[in-house]
Amino acid sequence: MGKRMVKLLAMLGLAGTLLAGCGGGGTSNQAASGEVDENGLAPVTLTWYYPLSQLQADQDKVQDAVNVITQEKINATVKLIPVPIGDYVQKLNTVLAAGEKFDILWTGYMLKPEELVRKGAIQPMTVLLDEYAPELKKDVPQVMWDGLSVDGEIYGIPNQQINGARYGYIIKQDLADKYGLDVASLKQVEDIEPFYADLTANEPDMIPYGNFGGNFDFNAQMYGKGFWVVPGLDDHFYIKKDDSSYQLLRYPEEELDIYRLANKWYDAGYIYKDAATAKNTDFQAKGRIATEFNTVLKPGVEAEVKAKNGGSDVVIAPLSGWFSNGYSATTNQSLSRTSENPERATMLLNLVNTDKELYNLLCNGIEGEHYKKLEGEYIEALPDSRYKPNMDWVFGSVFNSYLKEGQPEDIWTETKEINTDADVNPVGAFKFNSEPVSTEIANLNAVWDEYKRGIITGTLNFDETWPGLHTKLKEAGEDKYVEEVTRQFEQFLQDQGLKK
Amino acid sequence: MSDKVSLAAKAPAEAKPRKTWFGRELRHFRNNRELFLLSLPGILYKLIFAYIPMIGIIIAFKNYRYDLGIFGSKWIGLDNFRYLFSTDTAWRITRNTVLYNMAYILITLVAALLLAVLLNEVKAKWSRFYQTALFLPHFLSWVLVGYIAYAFLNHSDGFINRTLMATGFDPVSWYQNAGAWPFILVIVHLWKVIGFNTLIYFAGIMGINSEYYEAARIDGATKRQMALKITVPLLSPLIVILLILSIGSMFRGDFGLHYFIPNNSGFLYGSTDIIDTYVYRALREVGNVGMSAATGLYQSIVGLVLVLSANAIVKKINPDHSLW
Amino acid sequence: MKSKKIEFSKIAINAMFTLLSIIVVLPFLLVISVSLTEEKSLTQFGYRFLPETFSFEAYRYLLDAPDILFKAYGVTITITVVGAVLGLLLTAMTAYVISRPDYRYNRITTFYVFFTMLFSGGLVPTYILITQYLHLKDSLLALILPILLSPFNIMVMKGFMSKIPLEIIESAKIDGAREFRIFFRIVLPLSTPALATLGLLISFTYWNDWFNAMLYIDDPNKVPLQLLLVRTLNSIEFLTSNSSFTQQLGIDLTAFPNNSARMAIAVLAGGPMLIIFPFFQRFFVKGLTVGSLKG
Repeated sequence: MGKRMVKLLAMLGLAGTLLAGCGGGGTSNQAASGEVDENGLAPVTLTWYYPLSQLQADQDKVQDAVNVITQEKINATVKLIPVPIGDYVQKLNTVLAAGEKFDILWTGYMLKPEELVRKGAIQPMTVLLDEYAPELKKDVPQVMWDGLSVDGEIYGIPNQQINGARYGYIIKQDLADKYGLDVASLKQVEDIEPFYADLTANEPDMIPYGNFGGNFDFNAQMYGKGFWVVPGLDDHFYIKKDDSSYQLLRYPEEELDIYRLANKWYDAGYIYKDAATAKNTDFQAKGRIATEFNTVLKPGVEAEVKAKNGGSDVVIAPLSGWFSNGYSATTNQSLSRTSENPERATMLLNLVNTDKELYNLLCNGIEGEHYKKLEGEYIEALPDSRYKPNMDWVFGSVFNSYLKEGQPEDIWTETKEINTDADVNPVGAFKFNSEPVSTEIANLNAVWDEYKRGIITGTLNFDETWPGLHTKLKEAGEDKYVEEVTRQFEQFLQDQGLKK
Repeated sequence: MSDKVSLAAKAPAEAKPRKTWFGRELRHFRNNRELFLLSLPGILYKLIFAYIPMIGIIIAFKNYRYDLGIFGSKWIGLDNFRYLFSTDTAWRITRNTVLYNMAYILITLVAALLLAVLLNEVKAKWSRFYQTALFLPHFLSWVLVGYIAYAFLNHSDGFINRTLMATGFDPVSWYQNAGAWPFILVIVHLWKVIGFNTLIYFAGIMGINSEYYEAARIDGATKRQMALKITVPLLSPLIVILLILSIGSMFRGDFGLHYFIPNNSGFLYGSTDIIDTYVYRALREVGNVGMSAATGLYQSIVGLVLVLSANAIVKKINPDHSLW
Repeated sequence: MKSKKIEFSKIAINAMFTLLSIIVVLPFLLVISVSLTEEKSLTQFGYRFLPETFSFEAYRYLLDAPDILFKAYGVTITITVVGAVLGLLLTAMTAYVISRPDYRYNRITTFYVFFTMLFSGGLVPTYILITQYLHLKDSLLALILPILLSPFNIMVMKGFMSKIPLEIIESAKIDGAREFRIFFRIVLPLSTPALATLGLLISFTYWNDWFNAMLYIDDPNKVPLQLLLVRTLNSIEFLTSNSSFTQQLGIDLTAFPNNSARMAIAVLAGGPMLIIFPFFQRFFVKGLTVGSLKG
């Protein structure tokens, strides 16, 4: 009967509303309670999105502790929203596209600030920085601010950390000793060939060149060959190091030679037959990787690798000095255009980067509960700690963090030195506006994706494959893309005063 | 009801056509009112959750800027669609998508129907057990199945290669051998959906009046005859519905299956790449909302055309079975 | 009378099903086996159907922080139960109406529903609707409502319901019953297998859904089970395929749940379905027929 039906529906509706009640409602629009503090600041709530590799169980506890500090110092309640790193791009793009109101977001490697600027997602911080974050402004080298500028406005705060890179081999100590490899004598990539020949002949179980499809950046060598890669593009544009005309090169012969070298090594058996599709994890823990080509070679990497390869000692053989793009594209904070309190948000970021207590709270948790302090600046995470994100670089400048086991005492001074002394890419500040050629880029990406692993691992014969690949690239819009890049690059050179 | 009809017949001949039509419609509505009310919650739900967001389709024609939103962003006509058609690859991915879908639909139909009929012959206790077993793959996400597939197919350690080597054959580099993959994907797909589809057909069989089978048995029909002459025909409305629904998704592929199982190996793209995986790779770096919307619209429009055609064909054959 | 021929075919069919079930379940067995294997032997020997070294470590590790797991179970169970009941009811109501050949708006309603299966506004407008207009961000309703009514389910249910002979309904009408009553008193009981099937399917959809949670839930207390698993796997995928990023920032992949733990999460996430299944299967009863109702 109708009445029963109505009753049933009413009950369901009630259940629904109850669920809505016990559900959300409480999002970022809770007005922070409290009055205006002594600095004349009204209470506000700030929302901050950032990625974490894993969510932490004690997130709420840490957030409360953070708020004690922020409420006291800048009368702001902070809502921290960590997002698992695998979801970060999709979630944030949706949040931004929907025009949701929030304040701060982490930008960087996979969510590039310059692209967000194009899409109108983030707001300029130039003026805000000078007024509300003067200490932070001073602390960061100017070249990094330049790196985060688009059309003259600064769009992000870099989280300072190691900025340089160098490439070289990580070699198993026992094999090096056995075959008399003098690590210091390695100057060029090819110098290691005799060693590999020995290994293939005598150690069938070992994989001489232990890089695999997902981690095979052999092109870093271009630096050693005298080229700089032009950033923000597809990593196939170069300029010659000492070329004062900054001529833009596309697929220079030297780059193609690298693929030929990989092919040669593949055929000789130095590279694993299935390198293109296999995973490094299958072999590393078994100790079957003799050498690995690494493009960062951070201080302390030996200990890291030793922990992963079953405990064998390794030695590094850097083949280059430190070089960098000068600016940090990898990890920054930006302000959302929809932020209602950009001034306070900037103050918060200033605080995070200058207040050691706050920063380490975010990075390591609560002292005594999640870590214990050792001598000096050293700390040790407590076993079973429910807050150890291990992503200091997400929150702010790592130079403020406490030291962990294995890090030398002067690691931050050393890192800062590396950063300042590193060879800087003269065109490191180049920002490309991809909009006019987004169709071409989409198609070019798709073509390269198909061939990439086969070519870089040397699985495919380069000289046979290249003509076909190049034709496909042309068809995908290669020429139009190059034309647009050249045009913007020339403009850049003129604007920077590098070229008349 | 008959009274109302005769009343209407007595209405004056010069009555304004509109009023009569409206009056008639109103009467029809009153007759169907209760059913309409019954369907109202569903209709409202669809209105709110499906039709209102559909406004977003215009994003496919816009250069979407986050600060301008759906309505403020600039119109750029068909530009977002260009990348789907401008290369040879476009033909290849479309071909792959369609061929795979046809294979999936047909093979699943035959297999699930067969199993459902056979399940009907088995004791209830066992049939429940088998159903549960067949359904288990449904619960593993494609990412996870990708790991399992890797355990079978990887070159050095995979179960298949180890078996091959143990029996004296050479190991095969599965992830670099494009030719094997249409078979691999069809098998994996069937493995995942067989439980689901068998269940649906089985439920359909449950609804068939057992008197038909009784009568046939008395007449001496074999099981096979009963299956072909009773079960299948009586299930045909269900089969047709499922078929038409699948046709609507002919241009939509199963992303998880085609992305995670081939382990994203470029060597296999020739035979595993479909529209959805291509789009994912192409747009991953570019992150263009308009271009993704354009792709979705393209798949939807093609799907609509196909469904309308399929439905029209079915209508000609047997109007009772068509969707509308 | 059992003749030898019939016995043989029954055995053959059962044997075939048993074999099929084993093959189909094999990967699942692998998952279970890996979840019970010591991680070290996994890295040494890879996945094996029988653990080289047996270990409950993965489960211990997961149950060490049980509150996360319990909350996830709670969330998943709640949304599954509420969603399945509500969804099934709505699906049945809508499907029944369009299955009636004598319903005047039958064709247009069918098309209205079906159209939404083909066309969608996409992620962004839906997100805006749910978060800004319905204010459901971080609420359980955001996990229930978006997938409550699926056009596919409605069409399938319509297929089942269209087999109910119109005569029964007409005779009920002659007896003076109203449509609501017919629906609840006659149609639903007649459609038990269909309801059970779709109830099962809807439950599974809710149980397995993680995408809506990924988008709309920030509160860690409202994370459903599948999301826990999928987000871990996604993050691992991301980090391993963007190795230069991972290396430069020194992200430690060993901090993730290892291989056996990931499989353990999968088992814990999917396992409970094995309980739900039999519950619904009770209703797969044959031959609730017209004949039994006449009179």
